[in-house]
Amino acid sequence: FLGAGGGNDIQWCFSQVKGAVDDDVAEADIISTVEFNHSGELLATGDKGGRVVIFQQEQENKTQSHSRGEYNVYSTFQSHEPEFDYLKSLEIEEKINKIRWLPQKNAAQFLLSTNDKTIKLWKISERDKRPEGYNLKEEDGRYRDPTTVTTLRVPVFRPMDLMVEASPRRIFANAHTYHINSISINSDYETYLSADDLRINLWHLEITDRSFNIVDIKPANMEELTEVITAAEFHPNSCNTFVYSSSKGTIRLCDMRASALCDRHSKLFEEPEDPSNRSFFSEIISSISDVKFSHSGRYMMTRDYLSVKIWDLNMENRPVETYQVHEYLRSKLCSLYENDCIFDKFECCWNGSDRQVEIFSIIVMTGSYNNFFRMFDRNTKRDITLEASRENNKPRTVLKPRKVCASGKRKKDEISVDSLDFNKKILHTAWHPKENIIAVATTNNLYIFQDKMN
Amino acid sequence: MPIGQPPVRQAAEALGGGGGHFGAERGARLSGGSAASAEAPSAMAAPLGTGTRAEENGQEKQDMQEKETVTPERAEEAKLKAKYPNLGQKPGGSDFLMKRLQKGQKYFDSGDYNMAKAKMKNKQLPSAGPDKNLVTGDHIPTPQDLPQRKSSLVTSKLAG
Repeated sequence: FLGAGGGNDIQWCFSQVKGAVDDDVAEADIISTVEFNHSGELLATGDKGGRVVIFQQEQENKTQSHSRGEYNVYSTFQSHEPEFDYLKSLEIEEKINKIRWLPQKNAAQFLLSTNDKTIKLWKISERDKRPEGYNLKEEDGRYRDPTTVTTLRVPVFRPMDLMVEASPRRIFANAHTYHINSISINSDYETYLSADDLRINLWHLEITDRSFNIVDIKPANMEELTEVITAAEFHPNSCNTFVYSSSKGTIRLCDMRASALCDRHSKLFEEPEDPSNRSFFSEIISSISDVKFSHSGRYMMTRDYLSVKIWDLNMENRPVETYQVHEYLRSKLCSLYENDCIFDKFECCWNGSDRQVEIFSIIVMTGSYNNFFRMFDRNTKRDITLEASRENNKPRTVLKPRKVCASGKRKKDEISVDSLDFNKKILHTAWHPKENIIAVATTNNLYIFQDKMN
Repeated sequence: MPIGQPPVRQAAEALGGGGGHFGAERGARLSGGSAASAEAPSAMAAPLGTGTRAEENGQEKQDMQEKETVTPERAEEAKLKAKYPNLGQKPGGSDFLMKRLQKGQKYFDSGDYNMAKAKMKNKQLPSAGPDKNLVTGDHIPTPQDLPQRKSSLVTSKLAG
């Protein structure tokens, strides 16, 4: 296991947990996305109630050298509201599907947040001083009678308690007939893509009244619909390249230089399937729920229901590595289909990468059930299962690895497959871009773990 | 390019062979309901010498015996087919995809509602079934059936 010894193994410790303790979870509190910004100083969450909460890492305390800064609430705002499209008789959920941060260009921070239909660019800015000493206004804002002014003074800025304000700067609406599943900011930092079930649009961050459609897989006859787009992402370095994944387990890489409409892929990544293994469930469990490029852009990772696959962009016919997340669920597919869990969309993420030192993307993380999450080390081929639970919240105590007993005699400390709580799912996880700090979202709580220092 | 306008396309070129072929393949494998899935275990059973094919109610027991020879996925499929014999008559993909695309659809037509109310003055109005997400079929939606939507004015508990 990771953490079981060895020089470079990470030992994960509990750091913080955010959210209510009670078991009765309100729909609105269900966390729907988690994302660190480019420096890792800020951590954003979105929830089903359309709210965004941003945490900020404290500056490292020199006296407390055994832990990195804690994350505290920095800003919270209502990003999206529920809407009703009367024309189509369609309810539009306010749930935040994705948050993506822009790289910081000035004092303010910018992020894109999206629900099923509308993407918004939010500006988060700090105000820590205010002007005082106006001649014609009192401090409370009331106007003074000019005839009472006998002397003039120059207004000055005086410090005030820090106020963090969020304001919507752009609203990108009315471009998606179907439900937006992904947004991805281009490496040019000027454009971004948004993908729904059947189409992908390209936007300019400054322009809200139009977008370019770059992928359209809607069949002329909807009866012939066989697959939908499940995720899309821009290449981290090539601003002309993006990928999108499908419900059939394929990934298409497209080059925007080839044509305006990228319906023809440049590369098609698909693992051949053994037809004798095919079952009713095959297509459902092959549906890709997330796709993420590695930091270098040489590899990409996909998540389907039971596994994580690493693909080399130079090889289309099969993944270079496959990691089983919870293979023991294969013999539970019937129940998982009945309780709809088979349609759960798990995300995945790479470890952080310090650009100053060439660190390859070597660890992948993804969630599972029973509030378990898994990590796979590509170099050592070792894996570990950890649990996000309030019972483990002793800071600086290394988390104990978990093990699921698939069949046969259950050892002490193992948990049997039938005891797993399928309502406790970890769909969203994020890794700090530079340090070994991870954010793991359970249904309504956010856990932060760090590696043990010293 | 105007927002949301797909280019004109030829369905045949894009999906032609795929769609039809897919349907036929699926149909062949899953058609005949439980008979098809029952075939597989019994074919496997022969080498194990378990004799004659078990009846429907013994199917599950046989499945468990054959777990070594039948993949777990196929065993699960057989279980599902036994519970829902009508499943899979259409290609499995399309049903899910359609349902997914229709997420969020709620219908309420006050005209329909009032007419239905007038027609069924003496009868009880059929109310929506447990699955409120499906397109309205043979029931008439009432305002009570549509779940209340209101934006959360409460601050997130993550921030508290």
